[in-house]
Amino acid sequence: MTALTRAAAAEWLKLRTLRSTWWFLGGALALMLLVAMLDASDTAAALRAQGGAAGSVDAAAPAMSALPWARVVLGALGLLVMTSEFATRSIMVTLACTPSRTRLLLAKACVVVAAVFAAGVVLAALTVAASAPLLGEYVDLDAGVLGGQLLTMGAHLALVAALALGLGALVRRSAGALTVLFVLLLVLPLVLQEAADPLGAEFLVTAADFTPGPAADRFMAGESVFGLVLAGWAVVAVAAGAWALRARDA
Amino acid sequence: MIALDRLTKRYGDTTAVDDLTLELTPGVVTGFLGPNGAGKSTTMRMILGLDAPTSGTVLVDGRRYRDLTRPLHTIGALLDARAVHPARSGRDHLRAVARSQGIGSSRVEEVLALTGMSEAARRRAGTYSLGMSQRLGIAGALLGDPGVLMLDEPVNGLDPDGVRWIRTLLRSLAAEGRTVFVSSHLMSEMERTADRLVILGRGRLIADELTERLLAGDGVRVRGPHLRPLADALPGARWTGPGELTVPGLTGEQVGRKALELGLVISELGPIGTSLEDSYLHLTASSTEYGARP
Ligand SMILES: Nc1ncnc2c1ncn2[C@@H]1O[C@H](COP(=O)(O)OP(=O)(O)OP(=O)(O)O)[C@@H](O)[C@H]1O
Ligand SMILES: [Mg+2]
Repeated sequence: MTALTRAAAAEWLKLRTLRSTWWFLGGALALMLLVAMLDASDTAAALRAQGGAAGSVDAAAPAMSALPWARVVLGALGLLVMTSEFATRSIMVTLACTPSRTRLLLAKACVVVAAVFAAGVVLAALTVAASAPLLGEYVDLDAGVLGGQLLTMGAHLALVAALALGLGALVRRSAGALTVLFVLLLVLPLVLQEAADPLGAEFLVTAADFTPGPAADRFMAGESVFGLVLAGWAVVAVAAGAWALRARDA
Repeated sequence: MIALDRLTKRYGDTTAVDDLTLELTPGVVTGFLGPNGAGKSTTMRMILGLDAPTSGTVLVDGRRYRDLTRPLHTIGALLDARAVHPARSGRDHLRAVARSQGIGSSRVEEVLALTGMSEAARRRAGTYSLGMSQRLGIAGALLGDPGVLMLDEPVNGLDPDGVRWIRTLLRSLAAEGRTVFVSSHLMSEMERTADRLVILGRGRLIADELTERLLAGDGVRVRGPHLRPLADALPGARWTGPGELTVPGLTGEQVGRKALELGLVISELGPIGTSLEDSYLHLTASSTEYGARP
């Protein structure tokens, strides 16, 4: 086993032996089910009222509309993988075991990405299974398309969690890191869009699309290029986190 | 073996460790003493690479800590017993540590048994008493069967049984040829455990001595019914009690001969032993930062 796999094995054990991890996954599932099922029955009611065509709604659409919620919950999970170490000072033991900061953060990133990806696909599948039937005759179901969508949903959640992990390493405090995550996902795009008009700078609207939140939305909508944008954010955040871990005392 | 070379750490204006050069050798228990804020924990943090020195170097078995691939096989440390995630069980905590070093779960059970934590290991670490946390931490330090052990105030919170257990453990680890480096504020305990004592004050080295040398006082104490002629005959002799004289700088034999010459009866004659507490307080008197002022 290489040093990186040993560190990752330890991190995986640490992640799964915390009950809070399972609470986060349960919470994400509950939120997604709730939002997606409400969305599906609303959509079906509206179509019924308008006399919409059968098979006009994508089976995964309600689940996707619920995804921004799961994004925040699993983002918080990713972030805590780092910040809880500082809060409990267990970082001392962790770094004594794995002195290379870069290797430690990489190991954590591998574990977070793999775990959140797997969990995300399962959450998405359960949510689709619970919400799609509520669309009734308006559902448009294609197994091949759906499979791709589930993987995209998982990947998208995994990348947001990795981004949050990097922020956790950079900021160290849970509350602070969570604030930065909110700002990046929700506030930054709004500010850029609002500022575009008064400043007469149209490019800011385009720039807003490249911030993590909107990029995640467009990735979900099927524009795979934005998956790369989101991955870019995750890589930058993890790299910045690794730099901060190396530069500062534990 | 741990080698510190001109090690210095500054936090803003405070110099926590100041130009410290030390070599900690195998086969002995080295006690690390000093008043609150003297820089003991900071020194240990730098040895583990948790804090980067402002200047100077630390080598463990000739290598920088960050260059050790499976560090727990080289050095096992306990710096802060409470630095464990409170929601994880003691056993899972140790298993994670073991995984990171490529150590199997059977060794985890071994160190749990050794530290008397087998029973408590399934409970969440947040429910442990301080003494149990210390035991878990020591179990973690022993996990990799390292040649160097470094413990920051390990007896803090232990019951008398535990204190004795640590003493025996540290002595036997040193007897096996390991380097043992342990800090404490309990002088009587250090007196019994450590072969060598390193005393720090305000980050600077103020003493590095064999324990027996620190405990050996200077001069002799003599008792008897009518010692006045002896007090007059020996310059420097002081009355330290009724019928008791303390004579610095002379041996028992010299004082005994003098008494014989003067034809005096002596009831007791012996070297002055100081307690470690006394020598320690004397040595650190000028470098205690947080002392209570009467
Ligand atoms: N992270 C830090 N930031 C600023 N100052 C610090 C930091 N860590 C330690 N210090 C300061 O460094 C000095 C040495 O502290 P240290 O904890 O090493 O002392 P110590 O000898 O272990 O004391 P004690 O016996 O109380 O445990 C103290 O003045 C302390 O306030
Ligand atoms: Mg200390």
